[in-house]
Amino acid sequence: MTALPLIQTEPTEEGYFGDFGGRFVPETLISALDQLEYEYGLLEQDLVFQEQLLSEFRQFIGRPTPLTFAKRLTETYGGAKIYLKREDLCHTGAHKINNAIGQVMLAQKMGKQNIVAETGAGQHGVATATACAKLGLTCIVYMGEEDVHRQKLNVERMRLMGAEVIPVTSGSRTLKDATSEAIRHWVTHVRDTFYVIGSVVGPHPYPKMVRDFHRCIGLETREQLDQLEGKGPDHLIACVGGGSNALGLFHPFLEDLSVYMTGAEAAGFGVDSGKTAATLTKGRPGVLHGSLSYLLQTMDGQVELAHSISAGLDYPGIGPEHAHLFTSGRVTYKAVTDDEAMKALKEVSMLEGIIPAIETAHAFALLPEIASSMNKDQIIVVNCSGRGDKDMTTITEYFSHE
Amino acid sequence: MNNQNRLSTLLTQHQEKKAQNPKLEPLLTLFITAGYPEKETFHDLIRSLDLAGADILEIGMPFSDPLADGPVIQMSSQKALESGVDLEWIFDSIQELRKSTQIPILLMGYFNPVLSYGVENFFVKAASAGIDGIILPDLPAEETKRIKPYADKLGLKLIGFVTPTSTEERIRLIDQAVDGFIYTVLVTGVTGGTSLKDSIDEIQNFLKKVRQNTTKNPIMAGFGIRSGQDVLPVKEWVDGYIVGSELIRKIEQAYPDINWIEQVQEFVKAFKIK
Repeated sequence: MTALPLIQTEPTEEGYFGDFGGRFVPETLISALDQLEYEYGLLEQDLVFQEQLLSEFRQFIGRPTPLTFAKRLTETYGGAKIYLKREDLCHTGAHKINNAIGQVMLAQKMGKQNIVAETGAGQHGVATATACAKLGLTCIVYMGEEDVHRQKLNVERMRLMGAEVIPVTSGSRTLKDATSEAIRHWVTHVRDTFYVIGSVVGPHPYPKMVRDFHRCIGLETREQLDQLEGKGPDHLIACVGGGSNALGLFHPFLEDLSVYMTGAEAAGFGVDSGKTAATLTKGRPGVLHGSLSYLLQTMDGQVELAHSISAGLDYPGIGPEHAHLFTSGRVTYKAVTDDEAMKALKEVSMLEGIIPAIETAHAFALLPEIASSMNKDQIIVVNCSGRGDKDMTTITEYFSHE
Repeated sequence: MNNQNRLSTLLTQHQEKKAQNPKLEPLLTLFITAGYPEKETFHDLIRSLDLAGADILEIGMPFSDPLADGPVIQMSSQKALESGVDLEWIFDSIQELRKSTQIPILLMGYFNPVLSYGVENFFVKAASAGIDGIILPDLPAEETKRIKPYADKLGLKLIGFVTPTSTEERIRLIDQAVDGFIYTVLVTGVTGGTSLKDSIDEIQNFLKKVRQNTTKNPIMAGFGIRSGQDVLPVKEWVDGYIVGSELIRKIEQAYPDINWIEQVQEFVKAFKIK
């Protein structure tokens, strides 16, 4: 009998999940984080706020999202029954909106009228711009200059909804630098500005708060499976960049040790290629953007540039709760290359009539191995975290070389 | 080894003199990124800053993602990294400098490279190189316990940050957590940002609040100080002040003129002319 993993599902008072988390930010931000933690704590217990949030989830985002049985994928792999949690059907096309609506509503309650956010692929930027337009707050989004060019459509969407998109020209001009620049903006305007972080990263209490806004994914899954199958899942699969969609699905099941969980990291060209975003596979503990977690870094502790064909997974860090779930062994993480993800993307499109986002395709790439090793009466749930419309240029370009 | 910490000695002497003479000029701390603008002449630059009247030097350890810094220090940090400046180079350089100057030297940087180097190893090397104190802007008071035992053991001082958003309770907590000085950030923001001119009253009230809530540590003011003129309204409240981005900006302008170091010295001397 193997020892049960010792896991911690809530952060300590200082914001730690095991050895990971905390607050590694300039002193200017500490009071703002204290205030945020206090106000969020109140709203967690505030039934009126929770009712308002639920109403936005239903009326605006379109929750609950369906749980779709993937008949042809199930038949193809010849093992466990495969269900897809359809976050791709959320308004704006991905799970990101759950968190954006939650945080922007919180900002409004706290009396902050200005929102700042970072974005990589643009999905979190679009979600935040959407929430700000809906609720009437001003919105500034920092985006690496490189990504502004790569994700032109999302830039136009944000601008159409009234957000100011500021291209970032420092460093690598991608998500990492956009995040640094958003934090610098926040440090400078902290008194009237709320920072909406897009993943389960950053200083405490952000990793917990972002996760909580996405827990609806797992909670709905449990209820839907209960109705459809009269039992719970055996294995959960999700892609992991910062890790918000994965924690949203996994978290409600963490204490149920009969449920296996696997996170798909982006290996890029391969974990040993030097062009990868597989933070847990290739990184080691380090501090970036406010928390201690796993980090892709050089021998000297300088942050390395990540690479993935998916702009949303192209980040050298990962949420601290994932680092804890990784070191404790509760969740298994596997690295998926660009090519493996694209192959899965094509297969899901052809077999299920669903074009997943390239991020999401990383999760699908693990299915053949996992599903075929399981029994027919067992159940897998894949978090279909986003749709691939935004990626059509990259997808067309990729397959034109075949 | 630092049996006698140069920073503590200087600060104690300064406070004794100040008790005799309340009009005593505040101490001038200069920030310069290690190996900037070039590794070859870095020693000449440091010695000339010392000769021009700097009382304390803060040497920046470059980091790929300097969150608390504005564009000027980001630029110098990136150039230093590109020229191959790392912790070994910094320790070796300062060890060499110690043959010719006893000015207090502090290292300023971000926590990740220190963590990666190994905290204990970092403090051992820093102490033997002749470094007097450490400033880590992304390590708030709650986390100083990660480094304080090593700093104490090896005789290095820790510097704490207080900002306009710090509550009185936090100012007291920070004062207790460190033993070098309190780096008082005059404006919310990153280095090299807003000029001080608009909000003198606010700044004086803030400095009064910091004074009232600190008992252990001297106070140094920084962020937004660009000239001797900026020092006038704050000098009676502080023991010293810090000039960083403006010095780097000056170097960026002057380098590589044949007399760039003299031009930088003139800039520094102007702070000392009354």
